[in-house]
Amino acid sequence: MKLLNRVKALRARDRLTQEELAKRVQVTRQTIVALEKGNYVPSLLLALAISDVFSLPVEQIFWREE
Amino acid sequence: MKEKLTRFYWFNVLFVILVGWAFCELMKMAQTLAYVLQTPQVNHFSVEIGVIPFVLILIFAIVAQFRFKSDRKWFHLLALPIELIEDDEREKSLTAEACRQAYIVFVYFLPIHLASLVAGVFLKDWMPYYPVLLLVLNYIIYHTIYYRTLIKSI
Repeated sequence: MKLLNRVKALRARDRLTQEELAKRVQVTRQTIVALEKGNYVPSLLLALAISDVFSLPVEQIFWREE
Repeated sequence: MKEKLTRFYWFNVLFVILVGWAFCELMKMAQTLAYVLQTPQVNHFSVEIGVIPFVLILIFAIVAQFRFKSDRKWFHLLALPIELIEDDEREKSLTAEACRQAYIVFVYFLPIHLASLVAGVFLKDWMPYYPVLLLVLNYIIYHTIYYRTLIKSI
């Protein structure tokens, strides 16, 4: 099962750099890079923190690959 | 990131080899002292110790000070090996996986290590520094597994 996300698109929409997003959700920039590439499945806490930054529900940012 | 980890890996391996060499010199000195203390008829003695590994360790430490600059305080760096420092949840999961792999290898290598200690009894005269070499080799094995897993996971 793979977790997909649209963090990169939302980050572009809000004109945030990877570094800025990383700072706001208190992780390293490498984690954001891995997340956007789909190489890392975030914890529920991190997913909620990201959803807070983009003001969207978690399920509109992350979803399972069918 | 992978290049940085590879640099850390080789730095640690070289450093441990130097420490092993230094301990071989200390063991040589301790063996001479033990012989003198256990032999009452010895009136005078001299002890030699090679200073090259100690000088190299000092140079290595100075180079590391400038090469691997860190925002952390020196006592934090001393308290925790640099490869175990975690900045977020992803790094925690990476080190957990690397530690797991190193532990699995440790469990499978344990009988070999114990057998090597037994073999050391026969090698004592031919290779007096055998325990030091064994420890250094063990460290390099687990260290390699740890870094290999870490680099592969990134």
